[in-house]
Amino acid sequence: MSFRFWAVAGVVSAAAVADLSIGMRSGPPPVSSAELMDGRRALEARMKRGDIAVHSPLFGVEEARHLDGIRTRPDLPAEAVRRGRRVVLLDRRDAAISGFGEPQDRLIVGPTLFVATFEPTGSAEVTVFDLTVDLGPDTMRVERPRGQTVSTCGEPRRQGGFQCLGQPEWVYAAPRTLRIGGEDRACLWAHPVTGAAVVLSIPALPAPPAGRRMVLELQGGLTDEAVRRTPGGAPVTTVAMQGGRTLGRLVVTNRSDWRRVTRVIEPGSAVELVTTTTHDGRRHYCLSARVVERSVSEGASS
Amino acid sequence: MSAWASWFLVLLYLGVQLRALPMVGLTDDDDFYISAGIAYAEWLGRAFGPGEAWSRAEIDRAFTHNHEHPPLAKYAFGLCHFVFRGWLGPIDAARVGTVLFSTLLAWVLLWMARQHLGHRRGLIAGGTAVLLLLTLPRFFFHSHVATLDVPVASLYVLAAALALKAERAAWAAWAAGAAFGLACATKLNAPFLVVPYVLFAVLVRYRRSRGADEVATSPPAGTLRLPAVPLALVAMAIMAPVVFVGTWPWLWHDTFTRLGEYVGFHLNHYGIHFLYFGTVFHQNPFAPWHAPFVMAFVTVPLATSALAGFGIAAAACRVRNRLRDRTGPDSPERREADLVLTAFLHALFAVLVVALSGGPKYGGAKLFMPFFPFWCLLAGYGVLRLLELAGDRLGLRGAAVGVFGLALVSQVGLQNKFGGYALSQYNASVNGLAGATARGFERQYYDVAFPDLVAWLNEAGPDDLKVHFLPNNWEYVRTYRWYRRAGALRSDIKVVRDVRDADWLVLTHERRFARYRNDLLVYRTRPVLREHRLDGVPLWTVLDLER
Repeated sequence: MSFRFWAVAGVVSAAAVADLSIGMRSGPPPVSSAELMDGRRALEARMKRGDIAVHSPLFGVEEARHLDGIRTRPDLPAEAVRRGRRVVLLDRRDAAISGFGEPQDRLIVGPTLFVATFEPTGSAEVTVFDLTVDLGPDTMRVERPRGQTVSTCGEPRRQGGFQCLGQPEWVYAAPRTLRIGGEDRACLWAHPVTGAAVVLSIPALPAPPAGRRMVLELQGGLTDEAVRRTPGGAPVTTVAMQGGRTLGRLVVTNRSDWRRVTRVIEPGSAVELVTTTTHDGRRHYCLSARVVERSVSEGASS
Repeated sequence: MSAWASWFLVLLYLGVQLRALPMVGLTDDDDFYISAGIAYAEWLGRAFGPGEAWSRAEIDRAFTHNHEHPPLAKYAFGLCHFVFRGWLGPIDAARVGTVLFSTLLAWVLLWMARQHLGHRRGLIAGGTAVLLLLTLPRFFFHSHVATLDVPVASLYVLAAALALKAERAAWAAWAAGAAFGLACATKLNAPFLVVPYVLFAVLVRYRRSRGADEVATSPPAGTLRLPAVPLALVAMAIMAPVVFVGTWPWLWHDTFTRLGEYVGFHLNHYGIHFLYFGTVFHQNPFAPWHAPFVMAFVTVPLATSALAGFGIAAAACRVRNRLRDRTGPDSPERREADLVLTAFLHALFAVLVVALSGGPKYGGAKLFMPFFPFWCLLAGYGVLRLLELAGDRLGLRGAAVGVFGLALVSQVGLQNKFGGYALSQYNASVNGLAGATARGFERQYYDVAFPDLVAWLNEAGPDDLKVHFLPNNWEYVRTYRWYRRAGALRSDIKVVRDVRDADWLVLTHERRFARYRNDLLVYRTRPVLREHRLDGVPLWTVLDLER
């Protein structure tokens, strides 16, 4: 009887003490500026173009400021993203983000921080750029005429993505999941504008390792609802251009369809995806653009 | 003696709750329910005077506000608003309604415990349950906001307590019917009470096989023998619709159409963002079935859960014996077993219904509020059994009291730390708020307009300050109006709709909003004027947009 009593009393007391320790502590202290700068340098030393940089969600604005100039995010990227992307993490040792798995490389930066690298969990094909993941305030713009920017799409939207300033509310860039060609597609909303060009930029990417090349996978379509409700709707064309040269053309007509084009692209030069239409009425257009590193032996053009 | 002690506890509960009113900020729901409550209470005032208050036009005008939810709790908010506003201001006055519901719940727990455990044992179990409930940080928060969750929990527990009492007293069956009707007239999750209650009724009545000494009797040919149906269930079935419709004038016209709209709204409830283990859920498929169980486990202070677990284990024998002897005479052991079985089933199903509903799961623990009082009752029962395990040994009894005291102190410690930020409270199983944030749990929700931020803006803000909140500004446009109306916010401070018009930006660090990541990127270079951290986790940061 005594044993049972003390066992129960012990468990309840231990639970209470554990919570009391939470109640009485001040919590993990902010990170010093010096250690943050060390962390930034360690992060930059490990990052390659196409990598996703993640920082601790416990960073406040003062800490996040030290990473200015680096596109970082305060959360674990989705599993589907981690399958094809390398992630470099700057995190707290006392409250590390869970869900990453084992790192390939881990460096203790200081008393509070560490940097770790996580290689893609999926196949040998490595994604170095994905429009829906790497979307930033400088990714999309509206030109009218072509070559003259009338709107930059850099205003964060409540639902995610970025609104194009001075444009109708349906002109924005945001990751969406839409019903296209009878299936749910994860893509980037990029509604075209009559008489203008909606331009999406893929930054210049470094050269891949020997034996591999970079392939642009461009896919897109109109939502099934838009097709159904707009008989005779205008086609939408996205032209992939690099260095003034047309790489390929994705033409989406008013059909329930998901179209794709793949082209090899050159390193060191930005790619632009220029979307136009003759009439933008209910042209609910969604685009997917990825740049992947592939072995040279694998096909690329389609 | 125990009656006096019970009333002392209830009054203590009420006093502590009232004292804490100014500490709890406005949620985005307060604006809906307080406004609706005022409209309903104004109608009530006109209803008992001359005029056309009972006309369809007048009823529609008053009750169109927030007609997605039934009115009972909102009557309380509105009536309390008018009664107490001169003393407490427009916001806290309305919230007295929630405090009263919470206090009713405390009284019911004590009553329920004393009815089924006897006066002395019931006071120990019920009294400790009330003290544990009072110091549950998240339940404490919800007991102060003008929303429907604590009111429905209160009436749910009342109906469940009366239904249990009805096993032994016919009057309680009709009271249970009325209470159930009132619960249904508060929020849509009330009807789910029927599931654990029916299960309880079946478990304590159902005979699996006849023993050798029982005589099998067949009914005469041409007749149907019905199973014994609890009178409380019949009363609920009869009275609930009458009370539900009777208390909701909105349903008095186009009844079936409006009833269909009410049910349809909730069946097709829009998704609400919920961050769970690093993934944001806001549309089908919603968060997995285990989310409410996990949220309950990581937010209830661990000592309470440990005591509840012990209480359940300690009662297992008595419950088993009670279920084996369904037809025996009533006894203290049967009443005790019935109490624990009832509390366990209701605690379980309060969470299970949310887990298996297939609908959106969000808002931390708000969707399963009835779970907390039943869990505290089980914990209080655990305290009682621990004391009884100590026997007559003074040292051990002292140790048992000490253990309960330590449990209470740990909860007070959590309460004290998180205070008005109780929706950010997590227990030690996930290493508090810091660990929970790293694991991908929400660090806050409800878009709470924290009073300390309001006070700081008053103190530090320049003249004609324009403020914008990100990532979810529009909720603060609504709630800050209430603070201005109450005189708590300087009249020259405005929450503007466009960030480009703002002088200062308040960034509430909420990852459940898709834009948060981009907001942090865009604004991280702005000068920080003030940042509030709890357990090392930033909750809000005020940024200067002018420089």
